Amino acid sequence: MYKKMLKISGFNIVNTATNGEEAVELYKSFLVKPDIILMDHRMPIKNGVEAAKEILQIDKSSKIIFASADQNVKETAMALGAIDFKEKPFTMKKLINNIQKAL
Amino acid sequence: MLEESLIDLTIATYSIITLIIFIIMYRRGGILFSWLLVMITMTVASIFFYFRHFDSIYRIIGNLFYFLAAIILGYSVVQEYYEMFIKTEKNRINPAGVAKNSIFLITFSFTLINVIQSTVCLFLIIVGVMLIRINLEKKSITHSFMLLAVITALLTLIFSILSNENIDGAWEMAYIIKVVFHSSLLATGLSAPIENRLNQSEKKLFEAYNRTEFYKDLFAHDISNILQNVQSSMDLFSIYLEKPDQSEELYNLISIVKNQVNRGATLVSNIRKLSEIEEIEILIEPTSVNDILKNAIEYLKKTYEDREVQIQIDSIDKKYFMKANELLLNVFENILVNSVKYNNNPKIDILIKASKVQINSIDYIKLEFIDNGIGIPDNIKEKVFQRAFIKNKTESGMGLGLSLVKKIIEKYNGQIWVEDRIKGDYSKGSNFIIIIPEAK
Repeated sequence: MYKKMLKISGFNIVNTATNGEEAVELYKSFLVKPDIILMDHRMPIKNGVEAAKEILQIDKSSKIIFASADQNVKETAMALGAIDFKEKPFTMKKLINNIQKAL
Repeated sequence: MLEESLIDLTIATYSIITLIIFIIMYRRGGILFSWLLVMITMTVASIFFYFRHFDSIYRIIGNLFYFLAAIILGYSVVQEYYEMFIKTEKNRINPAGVAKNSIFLITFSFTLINVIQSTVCLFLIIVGVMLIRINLEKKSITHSFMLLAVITALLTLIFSILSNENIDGAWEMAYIIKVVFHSSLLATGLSAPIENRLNQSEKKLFEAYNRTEFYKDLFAHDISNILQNVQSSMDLFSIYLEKPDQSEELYNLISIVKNQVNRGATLVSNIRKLSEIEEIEILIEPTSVNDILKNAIEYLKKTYEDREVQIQIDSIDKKYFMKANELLLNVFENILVNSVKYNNNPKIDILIKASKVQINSIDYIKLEFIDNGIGIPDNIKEKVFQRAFIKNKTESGMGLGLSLVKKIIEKYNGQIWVEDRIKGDYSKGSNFIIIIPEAK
């Protein structure tokens, strides 16, 4: 759904992952790194915070926006170096605003 | 100076009274059996000690019983020390071994009768050190009294040795310490059940707290996700409304919202069932596998009218009864729904197999639910039954279904696990296997 919405709003979705590990692997495989990474937290195998940590180790300047229902990891995620943390539920308008600001 | 026989009689009477209290406490639970044995041998020793005034042979017998008490006392501490610091899961202690070792210890001490006093002293010192370590770890009142008992047992021994050497005041001291020894044994007996009960209620409280936290977290997380999906659908809906020819997209969005409402309802009912199962002892009765399975299949076909589902049942005898109850329906429904939900094939094939198996001389009915779904990778085969585990991003919270299933089956003293339909290739589908004790 995010994919559709973001596409309509004019963003180019490079790829999507279903878990943290896949996200890290995908990130490694990109020759040109994406401008924004939209990250959930509660995922199998590897959670969002762990995945964000690894991605930021690869490239400190990567911009990660969390979109999660786990408010309790907000502080951890922000301390790690995420640029924003969207608590679910949020409107698409707000998400798009935040992405545009981050760019 | 008091008559020696009178003091001996007082101690014997005192030990009989403490023994009676000890037995009452033991029957209420919480006291180790070995401590009761210590108490009994101590009492017998005191009685014989009184009778030594009539015949000196009783003195030797009394002493023997004292040593025996000290050895049992020490042994129970050594055993606890072993359980706490040395034992690993693999070499679990077995009662037969303990009995054998106790007999060995007793015979060993009887053959060494000449050096017995010094051996017992040394033994008690080691035991005392062990107890101090246990105490540092556990910080329990009972163990402090135990330590006092060990120290006084040691002192009693030392002073009786000294009194045999005719040292002034030694026998008076031995008597006083003996009284303290009895009293500390009694205190151990009194505090053990109280402390035990306290620990249990603390544990229950902790579990209840954890459970509440888990439900709170799960509920907040899943409801937020559901609301998010509804919100996003509405956002998209308003965009599509303004564009021409988007009726298919609009229709899709409506069905997403409908789905999310169902998800919320399932979440609520699952949480309710889970907490009920955890709190109440459920009634188990002979339950027909055939009848419940029929109902579950009917439910599945109604839920997925739009999908082609073929269910094949292999060798289910109408006489198969499990020790279960009506919650078995939830088990079957959950597994069947998962087979359809996590399946990308145009035609969904489910094979249900039944058989009887015997494990550890218990008769079980084994059911296998074999599907051609997306399968479960090895690294999450166990995790799918864990409560907080979430299968994937868009359908988070679905882990609750299978954790409910596992909880129910555990209540029936059964087991559930998952294998690959085709061994070694998980992507060809799963085989959910259930064993539940048979009702005859």
